[in-house]
Amino acid sequence: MNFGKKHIILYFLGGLALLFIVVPVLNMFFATELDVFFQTARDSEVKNSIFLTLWVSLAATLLCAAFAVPLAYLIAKKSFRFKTLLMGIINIPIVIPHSAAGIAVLGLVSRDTIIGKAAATVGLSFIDSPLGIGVAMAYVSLPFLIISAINGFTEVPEKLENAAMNLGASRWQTFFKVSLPLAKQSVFSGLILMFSRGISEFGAVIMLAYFPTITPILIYDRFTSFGLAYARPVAVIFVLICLTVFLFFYLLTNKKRRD
Amino acid sequence: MLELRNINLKLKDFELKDISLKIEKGEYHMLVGPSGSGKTLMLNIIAGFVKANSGQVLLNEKDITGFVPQLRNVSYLFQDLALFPNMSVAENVAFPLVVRHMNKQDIEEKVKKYLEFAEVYHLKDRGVSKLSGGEKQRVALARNLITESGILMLDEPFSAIDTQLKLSLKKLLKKISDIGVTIIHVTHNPEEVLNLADKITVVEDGKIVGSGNFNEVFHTPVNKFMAGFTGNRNYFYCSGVLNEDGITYILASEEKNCSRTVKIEVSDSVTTNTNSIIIDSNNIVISENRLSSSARNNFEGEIIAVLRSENSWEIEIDFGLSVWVKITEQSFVDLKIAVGKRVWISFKASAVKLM
Repeated sequence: MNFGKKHIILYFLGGLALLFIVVPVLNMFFATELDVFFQTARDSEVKNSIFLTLWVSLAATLLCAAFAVPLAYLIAKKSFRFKTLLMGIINIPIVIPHSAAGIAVLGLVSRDTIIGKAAATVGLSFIDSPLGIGVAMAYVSLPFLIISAINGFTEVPEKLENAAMNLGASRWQTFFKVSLPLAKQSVFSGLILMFSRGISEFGAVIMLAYFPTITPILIYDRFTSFGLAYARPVAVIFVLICLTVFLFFYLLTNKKRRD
Repeated sequence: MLELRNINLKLKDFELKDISLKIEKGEYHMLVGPSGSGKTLMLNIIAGFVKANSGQVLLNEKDITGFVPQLRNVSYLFQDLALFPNMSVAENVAFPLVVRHMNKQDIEEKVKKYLEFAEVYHLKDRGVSKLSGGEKQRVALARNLITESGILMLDEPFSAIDTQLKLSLKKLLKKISDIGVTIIHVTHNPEEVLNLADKITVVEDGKIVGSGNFNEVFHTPVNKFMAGFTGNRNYFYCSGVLNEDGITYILASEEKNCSRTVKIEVSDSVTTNTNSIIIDSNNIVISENRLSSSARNNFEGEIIAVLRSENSWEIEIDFGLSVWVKITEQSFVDLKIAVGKRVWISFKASAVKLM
């Protein structure tokens, strides 16, 4: 395609959109002094919150994968009535405000509900606990995994699965040896998306668990208590970690694709 | 022995009607018919991917109709081969044994045996995406053969490969057939039938319209498709019989039960079984004017198509029926053949074969 002078307006408009994404982040980096940055990096409250955010999101992602991947496979491979409606339902957590999503989850798992009481009998609580944080993160980020996995499984030709069964493979063997390996790129991308979306969640988590504090809530807490200068270094560190994690998985995914 | 017994299947816009077929052990059986006639659907029913509304599939007299595909033990080579892109050549071929939990050493031995049989052992470590079309065919065949099911179904195996590779694949299929594997091969290519078939079943519009050994089916076309398939393009339906002054005429038409007919003199006696005729394209004479010969089949028509073939020309003339005539290069020049030109055709009653 020849992008000549006549596309200068497109370049300009596109460039503005790109700047809108990049400039606030760069500005945040440049506005943070290095000594404050390193001082914040040594802050145990910051370190603990980042560690908590990462492991809870990772655990939520891996646990949900056990349910989301089979669901995605069924949706991709089976024809049934109301399939479109089901796809719409899966998208609900994306389209509703995240604070509302948090309220919805809270209404289901708070201490006076059946689920809350049942959890209490085994010593668990969804309120102000990593469990609650994980549930809130999972609720808002699960659709990303399901949708990505559906796309992956849809692209696996039915002929290959039929060939596997004709060659003697059971449905499970066909799934694990043919369908899942061929869809792994999309499933893996979905896992990254869900994990990334989970670690950045604020609205839903704050409804269930202000404490222990995940990093997005810590940033908010420092901003409301001490102002921008105290919130910004935490944000910079967290953004750097998010970008590093994202870059690592992106490179890993690309390597798998090349392989 | 594989048997289909009274298979019926109604789909949205297609129907398989009362399909009954027996395929003997070790036979090279070809399913022939136009595209969309139901051949591949029959393979899918045998493989268990499509459930028939009624009827049975029997393998060695055992009813496998209700069996899931993985328990049928009928090997199926898909038209697009369906090699697993996430596996190497050796892994693809080993797949049927891996899912049967065979031990590693036995798997390695069998993979070697079948890759050598298919003459692709040297490619064992290669990814399937790096194989040529012919190599893929051989790997897919090795993967099917390693199941040792004794039955191999092929869905148009020559459709994706070039002419040179076709010959080597035909030799390989012959080799597979010679070791006693029963082969069911779907095609609409006459050359494949001529080269490989022991028996032929002709399928049209979801029905079996003819089945028998090679000579019976190939030389006595059962329908217009088979007539064209075996090189007899001048196949017409018999819509009625006339007797005038002791001479027998057939009322021939392009389609079954068509009102637009042409009166053709025939020499053989017409029986109740006569439902079609073939006019030999080599015995039709073209002329610019009506010939004064003993032939009563003289018609004026218009040239509607001209095709060049080896050392001759094939001319299609519409005289109420569309008939193909073969003429020499010299006749083509002398008669100034061109589309749209009106000419006369003449053929003797003996050039008309009753079917």
